[in-house]
Amino acid sequence: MPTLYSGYMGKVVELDLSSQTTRKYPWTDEDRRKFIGGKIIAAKILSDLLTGHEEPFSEENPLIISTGPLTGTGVPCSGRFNISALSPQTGLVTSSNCGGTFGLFLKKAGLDAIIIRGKCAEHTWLEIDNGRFTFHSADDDGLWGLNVTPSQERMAALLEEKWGAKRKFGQMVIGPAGENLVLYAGIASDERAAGRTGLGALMGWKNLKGISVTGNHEITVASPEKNKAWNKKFFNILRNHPLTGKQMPRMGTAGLVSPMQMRSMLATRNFSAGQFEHFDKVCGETLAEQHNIVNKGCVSCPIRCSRTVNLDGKPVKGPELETLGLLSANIENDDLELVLRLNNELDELGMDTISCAGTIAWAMEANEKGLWDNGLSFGNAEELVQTIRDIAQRKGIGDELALGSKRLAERYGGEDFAIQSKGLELSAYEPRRAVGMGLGYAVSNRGGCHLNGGYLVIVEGLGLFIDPQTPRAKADITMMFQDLMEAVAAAGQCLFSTYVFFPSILITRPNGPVTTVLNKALPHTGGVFRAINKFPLAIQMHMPILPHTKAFENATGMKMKMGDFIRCGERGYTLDRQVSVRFGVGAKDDKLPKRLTDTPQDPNNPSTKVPLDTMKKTYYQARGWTQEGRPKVSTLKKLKIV
Amino acid sequence: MAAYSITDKCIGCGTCANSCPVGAIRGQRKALHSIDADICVRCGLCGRLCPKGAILDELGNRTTRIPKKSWAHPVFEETCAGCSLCVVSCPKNCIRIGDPAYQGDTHMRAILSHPADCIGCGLCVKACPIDAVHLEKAASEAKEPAQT
Repeated sequence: MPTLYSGYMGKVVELDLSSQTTRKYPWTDEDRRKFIGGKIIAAKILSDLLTGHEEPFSEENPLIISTGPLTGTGVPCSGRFNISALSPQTGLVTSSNCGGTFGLFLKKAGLDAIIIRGKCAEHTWLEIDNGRFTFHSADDDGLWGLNVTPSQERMAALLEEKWGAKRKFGQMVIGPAGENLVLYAGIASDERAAGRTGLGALMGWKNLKGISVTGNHEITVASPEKNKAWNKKFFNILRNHPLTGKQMPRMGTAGLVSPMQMRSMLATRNFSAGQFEHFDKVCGETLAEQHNIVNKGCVSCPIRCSRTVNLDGKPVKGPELETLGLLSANIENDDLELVLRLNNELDELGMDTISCAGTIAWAMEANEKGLWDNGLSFGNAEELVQTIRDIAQRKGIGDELALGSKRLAERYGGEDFAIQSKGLELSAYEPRRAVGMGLGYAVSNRGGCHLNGGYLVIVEGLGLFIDPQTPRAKADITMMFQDLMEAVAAAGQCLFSTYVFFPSILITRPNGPVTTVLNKALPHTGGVFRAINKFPLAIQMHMPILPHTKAFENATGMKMKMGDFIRCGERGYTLDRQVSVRFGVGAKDDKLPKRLTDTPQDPNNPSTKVPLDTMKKTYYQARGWTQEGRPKVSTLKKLKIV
Repeated sequence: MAAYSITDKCIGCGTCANSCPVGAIRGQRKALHSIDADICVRCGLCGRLCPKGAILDELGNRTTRIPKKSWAHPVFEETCAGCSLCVVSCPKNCIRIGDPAYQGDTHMRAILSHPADCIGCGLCVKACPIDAVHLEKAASEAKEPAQT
């Protein structure tokens, strides 16, 4: 349906792979106001389509690719797109966010979102050209079975041959892991990936190897002059901020290894410790000095946090913090070059580095404890390249490792040290030294995810330094951060743009008086956060700490003050939860393995474990959910979900 | 989509079809050519090459031929943030993000890597979110550097 708002293309299309037909999906301006874009559009569509009886690997499970209204408008860090579905890994509603150019070209093709239902009868790849869909055989074209980079290169060559010209386009593909239904297979787009929660396996199940998209639609903005003027400011804010202007461009997320080590937050030996004795061999500084060639960024981003490293004389994408930590400290591997090799191999095979590394760490401990004789052991990482290939091809122990740590622990025992939540392995942040992050991991809609969990580590030691062991105020701050990040992602922007939420002085002067007072005061301000969470609409203005809302208004023409923005995020977050509730999710699933909740990391300090039950109770209250973890009817009404 | 179009002044010389960077122009030799409105990216190259002024721009205005030596090329300013929106918009693939000046340099700007291929369409200027690029005619009309 055409729209009054700029930034949107005004079209959502439903594609049925089984019958190879398309139809317009009804999407109104009221929907745009309520569910602004990206993952929240997808949450609403999933809520319309899923009843609670669908299986992840079924024709009824739609793969929804959606964009935000800011993508393509020139607003900084807006080159993101979202993929949502019922996750093969968790069995619940999930979303995975990805950079690159696919989102931009999807909008140039005239589409805000595509809903992909059904299943192709044969291995297929899909070409989208200005809203026209063409199916090609992935077997005849020699795509099926190829790794991620050769697949994308082959697809590009085929398109150039067909078009007789080098047109610009976006693309996304799965690798062998997705084809072989590895439950944590990801989807790759250029060098970026929608890695988590196994959406690549769903694409593989649908026999869809890849999608290319191009078009020549103009993406309009509501006030071009205001938009450009604000963009200039926004770009400068990002470039002058110590995190987005210095640390991230210089070291990427890998720069967090050292501060995490310092604060005992670096998951080590399958989360049994928080410090790795050889961390200096694998930290971001070493990576930057010895291996990094250049930093790269997604389209429209001035931060450019991505690493390009030298591996065997070839430039390849470098590891993110999560991968770096989990493939080094967590499996006791101090060989950084091997980390780069494993990371590259995982990217090429198309699987989630976090879940794969987490599963391997569990398997190493299970082997050590005599639960599962699999030949893997801590400190012996040389053979892992082959293990990873076996996972992608589902050979030998790889066939079992492809199931992830939750299912394996159900099979072999060792659930206490299967470091996952809702079936999704945790990221490299050890939550016993950042208990708010622990709460986030446990309650997150998509499982053990640091971002969907609210990323409280940023205030618990990686930016601000509020007491990492206290549960005070953590639930309320978690809710606010989750909602804010939900809205930023839905608008089409990268979550790293939210670093500017923290005024520079707090980062540059961590021991300064302002920072010290704030660190001391924040645990006692739960009530303030609670009040804002409860009545966000009272904030009817733009705040300097969140330049995103003004950018949103300038680009779309839609009213979006800070309060409206938080409310949209809350709506999206609650909607995801509400759909998962239909699949039986509740407080019983918002949990962490016993290692993190019952065993102190430091035996001499009983507070170094996650007091999950206390925080969960407050969290449900703050969210307006029942103590069983289900959104109350009054909450759903307040959010205009029902 | 608004796109360029061809009037019946077209003599079918094929100049536009041979040079269209996205392959949007079709037609038999010595017959009226046409532009596929679904493919045209509005770079305007056809208009600047057509010897007969047979091309209309997306607003329906008649275009005129401009000799190649008078085409303007993008100049990137110090404020460029290397966001690569121009790189993605360039139909001739002649812009890229420059190399770091030293190990650890993080402030890379866009550069015109293939000046000989540049058609001076200005799509990079249109794509830039912060006005960090503008078009300039070469000061001297010396021969352009060869493609690298």
